[in-house]
Amino acid sequence: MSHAATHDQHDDHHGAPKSFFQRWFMSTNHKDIGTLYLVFALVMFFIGGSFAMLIRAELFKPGLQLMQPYFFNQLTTMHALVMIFGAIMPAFVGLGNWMIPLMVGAPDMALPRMNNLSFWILPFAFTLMLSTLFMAGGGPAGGWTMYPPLSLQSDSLAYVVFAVHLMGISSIMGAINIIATILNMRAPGMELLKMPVFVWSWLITAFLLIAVMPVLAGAVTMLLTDKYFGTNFFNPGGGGDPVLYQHIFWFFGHPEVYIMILPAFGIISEIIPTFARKPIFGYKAMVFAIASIAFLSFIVWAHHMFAVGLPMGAEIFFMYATMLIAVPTGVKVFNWVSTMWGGSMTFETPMLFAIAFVILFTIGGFSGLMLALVPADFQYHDTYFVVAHFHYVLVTGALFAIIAATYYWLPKWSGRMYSEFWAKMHFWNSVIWVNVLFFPQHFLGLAGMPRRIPDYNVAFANFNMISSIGGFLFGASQLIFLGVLIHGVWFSKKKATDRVWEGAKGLEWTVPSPAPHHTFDVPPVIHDDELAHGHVND
Amino acid sequence: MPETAGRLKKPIHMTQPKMQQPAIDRSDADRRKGVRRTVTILVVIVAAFFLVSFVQIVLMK
Repeated sequence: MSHAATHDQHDDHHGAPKSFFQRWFMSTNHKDIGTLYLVFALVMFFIGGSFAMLIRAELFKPGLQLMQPYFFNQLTTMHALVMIFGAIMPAFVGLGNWMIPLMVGAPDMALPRMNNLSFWILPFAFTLMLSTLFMAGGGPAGGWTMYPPLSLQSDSLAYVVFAVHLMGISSIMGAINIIATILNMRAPGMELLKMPVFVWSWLITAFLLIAVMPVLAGAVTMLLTDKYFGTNFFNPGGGGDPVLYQHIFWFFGHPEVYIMILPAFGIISEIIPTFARKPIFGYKAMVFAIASIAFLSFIVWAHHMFAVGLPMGAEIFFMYATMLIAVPTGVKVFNWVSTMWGGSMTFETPMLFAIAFVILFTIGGFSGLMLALVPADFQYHDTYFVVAHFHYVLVTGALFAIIAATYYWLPKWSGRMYSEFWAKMHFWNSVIWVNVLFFPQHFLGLAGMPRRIPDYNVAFANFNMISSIGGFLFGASQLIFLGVLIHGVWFSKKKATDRVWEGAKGLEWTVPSPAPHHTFDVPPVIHDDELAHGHVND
Repeated sequence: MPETAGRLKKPIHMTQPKMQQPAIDRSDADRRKGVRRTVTILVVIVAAFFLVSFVQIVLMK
């Protein structure tokens, strides 16, 4: 497709605002807001990462080394809240903001001013939450799940609840915007079943967000009223039930897990076809698999609570429902491998991270299946095995996908090629040390080491030391990422072509690099052979 | 790899029929109407969820 179709020449008279304040604080442009989300996520990633470094430093040897147990509990709680709500989710929203309008041929998001508000709520929410660390009572220390009665003992509960409300409002507004954009702003000819898988994954994720964020808001509001307004929803002394909180929380919490992984599936489904130089294998199956996983995510919440004493029938139902998720997930892994099969593959950094994702996420999926088994879960529950499982899913899954997407689309954003050598250094260091960090935690969990403790039996010393060394080096590897990003955005001399990658297909590659401030003011002409997944009706 | 580097080992030829561009596009007014309708429906759903949570809290109190 020619550049004329993108009408980027129109940018001469309506480019980016000149003033820094106007451009970055009052922006309604999806690319600028996407950049803001991504920068915010990166900052939060390093803040949450520094908490993780402190946690691993404390666990380097048995005994208390650096901090008191109450501060350790604050660190584990804050690490999770910052990484989930501050790093992973905003990073996906940033990628969605940047890429969805470009991928569907829309000039911008459907509701640009609400887009600005969605972002600017976040820095205030996290300032509120992080500020509790500097207050007399300290930050929240009851875990990111905020289970009562433990969480009710925290002096900072009101701050955290208010911050969670703000994050929820931001997420709901973002989700409404994404759905409205995808359903109404697509270029003519971009039918639903011709959309890139990344766009599909975000459409489904946005519905999940709308469905579960109000539930979280309800749960934390009940916590607040229990602490400050004399209610007893969760206090057995007053006739309440702490297990009720767990049911409500995990009705939000399990779909939340998929909110953090479905866009990753979409990203991997974009990258693998590009570097295998083949259309995605089983496009429709991929879309329906994402939808099936999203549906199943609503009926498996109690697998987080097997150990609370559920009725046998409920345990069996939730066990089988959880195991059922392996079917659509298996379809996806099979299709990614089939896409690579027989392809002319090259191994640039986005592809390396995508392949690592497929392998390592599958390890996380398998340990998830082990945890789904009720009798096995009685042993694994609340041990380091669970910590290993969800870090394989969220670090080598969600985070690796975000990093892969950053390398994949960075040349389109900045107009410059990043350093492939240093990016590969980042990849190999990350993939080696992340396994040194998390794989031994499986053994620790199987041997019975509980989670969320600052001290442990000397029997666990060796694997903890190995894990901490892996943690420090994985953390240090991310400084290479930062360096590659800074170089790739501002200093690289190597200009990116419009298509950037030889095998790249899709509308986003038809606009110049860097993408002009405004694109697709006039809807583009779409050809099937320009679509990433080829002709879907074959 | 960058498009210009050309390390393709095995060329893949995909011949696919060109898609027909629909003759009639949705007008801007239709699009705006669609956005309004989508947002209204979604806001009603979210408001209903919040309301149900609130009612649940009040009833259980």
